[in-house]
Order: sequence, then structure tokens, then C-alpha cells
Amino acid sequence: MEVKKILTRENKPTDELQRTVEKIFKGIKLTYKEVYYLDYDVDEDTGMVNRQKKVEYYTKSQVSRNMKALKSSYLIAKGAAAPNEIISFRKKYHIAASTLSIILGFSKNTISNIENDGVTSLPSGRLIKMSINNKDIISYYIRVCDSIDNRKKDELSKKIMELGI
Amino acid sequence: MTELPNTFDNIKIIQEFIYETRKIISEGVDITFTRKANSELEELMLDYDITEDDIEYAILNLTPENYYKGIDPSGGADFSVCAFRVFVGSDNIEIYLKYGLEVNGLQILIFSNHIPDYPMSQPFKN
Repeated sequence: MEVKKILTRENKPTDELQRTVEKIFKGIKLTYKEVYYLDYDVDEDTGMVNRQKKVEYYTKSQVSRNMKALKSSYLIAKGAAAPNEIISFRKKYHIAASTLSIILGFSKNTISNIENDGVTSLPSGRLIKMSINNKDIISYYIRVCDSIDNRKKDELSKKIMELGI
Repeated sequence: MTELPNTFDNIKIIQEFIYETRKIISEGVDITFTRKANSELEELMLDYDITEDDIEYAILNLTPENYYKGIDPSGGADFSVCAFRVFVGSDNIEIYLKYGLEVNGLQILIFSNHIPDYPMSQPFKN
């Protein structure tokens, strides 16, 4: 995979780096991946650059991505479904992301957005988790979904009954 | 950090600092965070849903009245550093915001953005 480049203060391209971070927040251990880059250290009291030492910096876009990852990790720790849990569920039952979104009552792109960017809402994340972990709940939602045809409903319900959760 | 006395010239210095920041942002330059500032913002996000956009918005709306401390009048540093008292997010959370402007460059570097540990004065207010 191509490494993303960031411009340093001296306008030189440098690699975007990635690492796994562990953080304890209100007694909950959160693990997430953060992105950053290295540039020369700046003393925040004197405003002087130390050209002997490089330290971590974060562009606004990197901060945004790190925040999403951290928030998603926090919501998962509080009971929301993790993106890979949703992906595994969909793969097991061959359900498209847009179909699962509609079955659960979200707009078409919600599941796909969660799978790509992480969970952003605790109630939605918990609803998804409960639904994909309970055969009766997901079967009921499939049955009462108006936006998919009966043939598709039967096919999905049969798969869930056969394979179990 | 130095606290500049409330004089016409000092208010002008802070006004120029704020104006320069706005100009750089309006030219498309994004703010950059130190490791400490990134970690502090994570706490603000988890506790109060404050994001990097809220910090940028606060910076864009600074006035000399927000001034708390900073800017070494002697110059000679690579960054001009100044601290402000601002309110951010939909809940108007009070934070200590300290950032630097690169003297010979375009970087706006956030050093600190956290809930103040003690009451902050605003020497240029009133």
C-alpha cells in the first residue's frame, strides 16, 4: 500500500506514520490506531525549533481521523457493534451493506459509513450489535421491512435460520 | 510566559497576531497539533464532543479581549507563541488555548487546548 506523505515545516515530504495507542478513559481501556508524522521539536515556551530532535505532530486531517478512531473505540467499549463484527455478519449471510442498513431502519449508506469510518453514535451502534447477535430480532426486522421483496426476505430468513447467529 | 501590559501598542501586537492567523487559514493552511495538544483534544472530544473544527473556529473568532499571555516582544524565536482564554463547542466550554505562528513560514501550531487548571485573567478585556 502506498504510504501517505505529509509536508514538513521545511516543505519536505515525510511519511505518514501509524501506531496502535492504548488509552484509559473513565476506567475503560481504549485501543485504536492513530496516524501522525515527525518534524523538528518546537519549545512551546521559547518558540524555538530544536533541529536535533524530531517529535510527533498531527495535521488537522490526521486529528480528525484519530478522533473518529478513538470515538469508535470508546463506543465499541460501551456496547456498540465494531465495524469488523458487522462485516463478518454480512459476509456470513451474504447481505449487502445497503440491505442491512434498510433492514435496521437506517438510510442506505449508514452501515457502509460505519464500516469505513467507525461507529459515531452509541444508540445506533448498540442497536446494530443487538440485532446482529440475536436471530429473533434480525428475523423480525427482515420480516417487517417494507423496502425488500418477499423473495429476498425468505432467502435471508432461511439463511439466518440455517446458519444460526 | 510574559503577560503584556494593557497598552494601545500591545493590543495592536495581539491584533496583528490574530489577523495574521486568520490570513494564513483563509489561504488554505490547516492548523497542526503537537502530541500534547492532540491528547488534550481527545479528552475534550470524549467529555464534551469538542472537535478540531471547534478549535479552528475559536481561533478564527479570537479578539484581543481573549488574550491571556504571551508573545515575546524581543522576537528572535522561530515561533511567535500566544495563549488565549476561549469558549468552544455547543456547550461553550472554557479552554486555555495556546498556539504559535511560524515566523518564517506558514505553520499554525497548537501547543495546548485544555480546560484551565485555575481561573484565567483577560488583561485586555475592558
